[in-house]
Amino acid sequence: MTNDMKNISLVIFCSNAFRSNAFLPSALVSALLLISASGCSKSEPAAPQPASVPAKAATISINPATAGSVSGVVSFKGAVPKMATLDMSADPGCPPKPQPSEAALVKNGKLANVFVYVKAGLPAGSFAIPAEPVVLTQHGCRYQPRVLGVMVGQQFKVTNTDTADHNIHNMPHGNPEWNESQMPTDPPIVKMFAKPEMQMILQCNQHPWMRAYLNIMTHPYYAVSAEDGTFQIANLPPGDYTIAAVHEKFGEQTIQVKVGAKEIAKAAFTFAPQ
Amino acid sequence: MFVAVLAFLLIVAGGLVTSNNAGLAVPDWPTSFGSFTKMPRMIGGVKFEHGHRMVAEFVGLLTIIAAVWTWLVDKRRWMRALTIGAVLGVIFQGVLGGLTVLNFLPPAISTAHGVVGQTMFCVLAAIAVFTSKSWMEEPAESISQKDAAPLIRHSWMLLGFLYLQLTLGAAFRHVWTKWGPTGSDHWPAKKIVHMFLYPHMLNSLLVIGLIAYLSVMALTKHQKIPHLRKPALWMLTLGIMQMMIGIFAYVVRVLQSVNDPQPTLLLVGVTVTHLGIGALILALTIIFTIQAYRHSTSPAQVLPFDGRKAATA
Repeated sequence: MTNDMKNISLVIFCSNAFRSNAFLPSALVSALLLISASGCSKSEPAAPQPASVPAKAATISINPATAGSVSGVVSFKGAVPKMATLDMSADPGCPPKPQPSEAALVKNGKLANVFVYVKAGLPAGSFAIPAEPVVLTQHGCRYQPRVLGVMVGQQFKVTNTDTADHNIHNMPHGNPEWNESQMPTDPPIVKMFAKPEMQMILQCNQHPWMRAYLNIMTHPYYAVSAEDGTFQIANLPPGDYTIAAVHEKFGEQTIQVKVGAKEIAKAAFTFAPQ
Repeated sequence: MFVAVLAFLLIVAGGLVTSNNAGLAVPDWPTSFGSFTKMPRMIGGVKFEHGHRMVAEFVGLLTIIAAVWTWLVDKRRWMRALTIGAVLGVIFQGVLGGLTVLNFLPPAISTAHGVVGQTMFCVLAAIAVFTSKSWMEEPAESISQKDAAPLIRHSWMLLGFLYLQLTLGAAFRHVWTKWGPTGSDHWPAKKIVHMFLYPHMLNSLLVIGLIAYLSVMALTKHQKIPHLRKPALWMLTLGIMQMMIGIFAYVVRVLQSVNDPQPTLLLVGVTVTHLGIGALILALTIIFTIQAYRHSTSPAQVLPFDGRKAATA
């Protein structure tokens, strides 16, 4: 675990230097505490954490002859919330002009950056973990992509193509937390996650507008809606599924779909201002 | 006095770190980006976090110098002990700051860092009073024990409610930054407001009530004692300002900026001003309490300050 603190001893010093009736200054001083801490580990190196990956169950194999898919579109109805522009001028390594926010990207009534995934209905067992890493790039003082998914045990790689320094800080529910700086010339930071988790926020504390939403999945059946709101989840075994769509501002919706052999099931989501 | 002023600036610098959500811009401690000496690029969140560390180191150094100086020139044993306590407190505060960075800003430690920071500012302000010229002189006016008792009692009550106020305010800020809308978003804004901000607002009524009581007493019954009148007048003025800025901070932070993608200048300005005025009110209350003891007719029974004893002997 990152930065675990060891051997923290707490000693309370109540000053005896005062006579019994000198209680005012002594009250001030007796409030002082001394913590001696040793063994504070530094930030962990940019390496995966294979030890934290859970033991594998039987891997499910998908028959390509019968596999179907779910495709659809995410729409947005109602007035699009007005998002403040991003002021990146504090750092000369970032764009000097105000930049649009990506927190609610609506174009022609279609909503982008919605994470769509199979919430229920998959056969029990584990799914093969892709060998290639999921890459998050810091470019133009933004995270690209803003919304992404990675499987438990899959490599997650963070790169910096900016001339600005960044720090990448994840804010998990159940996975270990880390915070590492990455200069423009630094090698990629590579991580793995042991537990599934939805909408884990990644943040840069040097540029507080930088936010990404990482979804850690136990299966590969997920997609992120494109600019035109479309998405597709492919290679699904036939069956009945609960499909969920989650957006950082507009919450989560679910629908039921039935996927037949070699069939493309349709799914549509419509979000509205909250 | 100079160290106390710097400590106040340090509190403001710390407030800037939290309001700009820059607490983890420098990921390591006690080094900054792996170095004790190399100056990082003071850009973005780094300028707030590393700037805060630099001011803190300077305050720590000056506190040590003040303690050594006191040991050399001040004969008062309690005064020597107080400055040693100040050094230990400043070190402890530094360690708290380090722990909060290394543990990714846990609200409990961050809140403790905020509360201890203001306490250390008060200790340094008290040291400034104890080493002032006026402290060495016999007070021209005194208050009977009967009149001093309610002043002292209500001062301690005010201190208690101020610490509660400080703890609630700091907890609100740090929970909001860590788990709230500007952090991991695990806690809804409403929950944080209900848990910390509404109690903070409710407690502010008790605080302003006690400030009003003490101020009225000091400005009417004890108006001939400038050491009570002046801090009381400042407490009242700042208390009223603090109430108004607090309401403004609530509007900006909770009602307006909850969906903002980054801290605005207005948000930072209002919240840091609110924090700074809070620290000043706390320090003024400490000074008022000390002066209430000092001007009581039987100070030797409550404060055996060497200077006063020598003067009355």
